[in-house]
Amino acid sequence: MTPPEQLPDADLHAYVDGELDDAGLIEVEAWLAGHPDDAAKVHAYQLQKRQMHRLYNDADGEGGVPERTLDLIDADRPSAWLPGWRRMAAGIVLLLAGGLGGWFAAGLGGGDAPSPGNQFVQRALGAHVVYAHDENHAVEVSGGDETRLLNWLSRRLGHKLMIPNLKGAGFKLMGGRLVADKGDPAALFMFEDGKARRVSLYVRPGMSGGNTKFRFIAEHGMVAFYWTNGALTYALSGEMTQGDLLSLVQMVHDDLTSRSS
Amino acid sequence: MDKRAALTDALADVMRYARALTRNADTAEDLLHDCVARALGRLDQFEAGTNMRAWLFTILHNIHRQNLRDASRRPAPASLTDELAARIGRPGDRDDRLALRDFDRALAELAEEQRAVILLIGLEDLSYSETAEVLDIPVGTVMSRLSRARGKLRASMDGNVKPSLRSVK
Repeated sequence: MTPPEQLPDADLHAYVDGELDDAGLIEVEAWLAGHPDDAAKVHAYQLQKRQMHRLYNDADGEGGVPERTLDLIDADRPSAWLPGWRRMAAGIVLLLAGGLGGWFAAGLGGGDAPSPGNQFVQRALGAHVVYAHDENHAVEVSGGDETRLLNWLSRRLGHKLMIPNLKGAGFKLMGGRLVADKGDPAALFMFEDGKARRVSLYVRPGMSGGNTKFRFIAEHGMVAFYWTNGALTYALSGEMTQGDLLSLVQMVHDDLTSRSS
Repeated sequence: MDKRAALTDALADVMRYARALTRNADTAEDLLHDCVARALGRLDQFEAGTNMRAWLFTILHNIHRQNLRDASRRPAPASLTDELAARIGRPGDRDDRLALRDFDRALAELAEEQRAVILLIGLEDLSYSETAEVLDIPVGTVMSRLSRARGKLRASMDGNVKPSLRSVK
């Protein structure tokens, strides 16, 4: 086989821009090894790309998007998740208006028998009480390595989990642990804010059979709220007012929904 | 991902591209704003799973073309160098800063249609076919504009050829 006299300029660009398949890549690399002039061209093109990034990447990370444009998006937010959330919020209002102590939701599940949802949220609240008050061992795996934590718990639960971002409310991820929920694996993520308040998100699959889609309970100064979203059921628990917890629930729900849809 | 969230995530890149393309901060902000307004109005036309940034670049270019036609004026390419160099440059990096300034100047001298291609591919990492779609031109034209633009930049970086006298294909 006689090697070509000249490599088309287009191939050099395609090489620089990652447009070549494996065979093309090997061919061009072999060519460049023996043709310093073309190698210099490639080098120059690559340098141009880097220079463009240096010129135009915004060092502040804000991107310089003007307020008025961001406002435009905020103003135009009927949003896909709202209907679901509105239904949920309407339910909460109903429950709160009932003014029940203790089990806010006792009546909604249908009858006096504790529904699976009732039992679930109570177990979540129990786990929160046990672990959130453990000064040094609140979590099994720290949140420092979020990917590892998430991969591990996703594998154990057999579902792809997500960790909501609660930084907007001042809560940082401490970490998580695997817990046994009635003999099934469940995950618990613990968050803490600057005032050392802790909230935990308790999540497990296989609870979506029931009719009740949300539930709110308050016990011993603790509040917990649970809801089902697709295959996963969540409970958020913390030692705070109902209003504070609900705004966190909204944040979790918003974040998880926007990333999963 | 939610379309609106995808749009919000893409804004910084679209802003960056608008600035690099128009080389004028005010023009770029107006362009971004109009682009977002139009995108919000037709968000249901965006196909989930396709490239949100490419979609926004396409809208941005449509508006930009319209603006240029309407006003039939092209803002003089003002160099953003001073602002940029002030941000990037560290004291002691003088040669490096000068090289970057020369590069910026060479970018400014490119025809805008060539600059668009080199920015979409080199800065925004679009593929050749995505770039062709955004600019509504054949892939072959993308490649020839890219090749010419890079050749001019290289010549002016080497500092030994006057870009305007280089090959006219």
